Amino acid sequence: MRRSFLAVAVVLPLIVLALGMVRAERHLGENRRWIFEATGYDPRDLLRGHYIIYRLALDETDPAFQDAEQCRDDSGDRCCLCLSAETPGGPTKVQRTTCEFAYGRCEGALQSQYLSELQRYYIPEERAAEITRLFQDASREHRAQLVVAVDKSGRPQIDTLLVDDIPIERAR
Amino acid sequence: MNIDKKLTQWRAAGHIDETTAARIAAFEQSGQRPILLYALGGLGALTLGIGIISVVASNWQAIPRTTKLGMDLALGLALALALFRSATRVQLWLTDVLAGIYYAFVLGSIALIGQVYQLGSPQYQGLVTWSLTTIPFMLLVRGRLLGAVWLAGLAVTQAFCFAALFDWLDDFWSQATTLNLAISLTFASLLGYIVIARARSFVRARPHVSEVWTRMSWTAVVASALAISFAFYDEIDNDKLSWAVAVCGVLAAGMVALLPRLYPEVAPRARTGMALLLASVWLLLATATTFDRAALPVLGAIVQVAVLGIAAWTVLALGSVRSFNTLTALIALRVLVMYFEVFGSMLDTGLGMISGGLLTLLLAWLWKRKSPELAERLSIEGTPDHAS
Repeated sequence: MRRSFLAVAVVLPLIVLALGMVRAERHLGENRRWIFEATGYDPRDLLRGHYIIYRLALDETDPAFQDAEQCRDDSGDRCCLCLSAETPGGPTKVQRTTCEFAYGRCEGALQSQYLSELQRYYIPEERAAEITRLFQDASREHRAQLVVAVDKSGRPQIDTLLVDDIPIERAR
Repeated sequence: MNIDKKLTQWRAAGHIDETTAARIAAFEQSGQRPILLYALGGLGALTLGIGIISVVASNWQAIPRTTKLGMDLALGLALALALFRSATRVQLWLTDVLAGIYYAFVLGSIALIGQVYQLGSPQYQGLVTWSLTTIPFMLLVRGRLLGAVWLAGLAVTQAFCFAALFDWLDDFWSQATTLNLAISLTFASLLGYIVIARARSFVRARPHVSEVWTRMSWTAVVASALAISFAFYDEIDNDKLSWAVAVCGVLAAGMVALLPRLYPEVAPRARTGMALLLASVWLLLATATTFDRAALPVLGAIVQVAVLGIAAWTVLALGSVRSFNTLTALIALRVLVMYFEVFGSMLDTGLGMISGGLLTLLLAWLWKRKSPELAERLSIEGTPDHAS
């Protein structure tokens, strides 16, 4: 193997890893945060590793979106959630609609195909049981919230999971 | 075979003198040392790599994000530099070990980034990144164990990609079209591994990796035939599988035609065995899954014994006594299991087990009687053990 090719071969994974880190940092650094209620803890996750699985309680009742174009994921359409918040940092209201409508008319747009990627949160091993209990209690009482940074294309990335407005890793 | 024990026995029997025994021992040791060394190196590298992944999976909280990722990149850079250094100095064993550690490290690092940034991307994306970025430096690997791990990694990545692809296609195409495409692509990729494993430059540059890839690919062919024959255990009401049978037929025929070019050095009857195995996969796909029929469990079991029989005959023609013994044992085991499957009442089961036991003992006796004979004949012929 030639030296130049060998150098590229051994450095390539590092470049890709570094790019992955930069991309994730930029996503969190540059995009607006939206807050969703996290609920419905799935106890099966303990068998699969140190993360918790939940679902997002999406509030789709905002009358402001009555004129939004209807969109159905199961019919193969490209759907987005039209996002709005009454106050910065307040709970997010959503309406499922076409991405064209959401990009043009909404405060924010989240592509619905990515929703399944928002339902897992990694937790440290040494406090896994304690954090799981904390989350179970908080989700029952509607005190658990997921903070998500969504970019202009509608791609989300989890920022943090809050319990009583404190990141769950620091909550006691 | 314990060569020292055998040499002592042969010397005691007067077949060889002390000088010959010493020369045989020296020859055998010179051949064995690198294999053991590479196996241990591969094992050590894998253990270390799994350790790194395990530490990552624990998602320890004490270290801040930037420090954690900085340490990860620093460790990666150290590994990359060490690998570059060992490869340029042609330190073959060390290069193998470092490539193995780096291979696991890259997977662990992708998982670490996913944990730190809470990325919920589908698993296939991480696996594709891992497999594609590691291919260039994994070409340095020479040992069998790491070669096997590499192929397993590629196959797992491919399985996850196919699952995601077919899941996605289900939204646009009918279930039948997706199923046909899935079967065709899976079969084509299996044959693809066989072809890659025998690529001339690959065989020349990485003979041990090529050998282990060949073994694994053909094992997958046998496993596919066995898996398809399980379809006979169910009633079939097929309205989905159609053109995939034709595509697989064309692919299998093409592969049979390629066999003499891929394996020019093996005996023609070994190639016949390989062709029969490929034909079995296609024939089973065509007969077990395509026609509406009732459940035929006995036929399924007999077919599995037949497939194992063809595989045993093929490896024997290739001169691999160890593989032949393993397959013979599997045949005996399958025959025994057949009796548990087929018979229901106490009397039937009892009679079945008596006849099954007798049959198994007969097989064991034949195996015991014929195996040393075959081993001796094969060792005299000196047939190489290439593609079993």
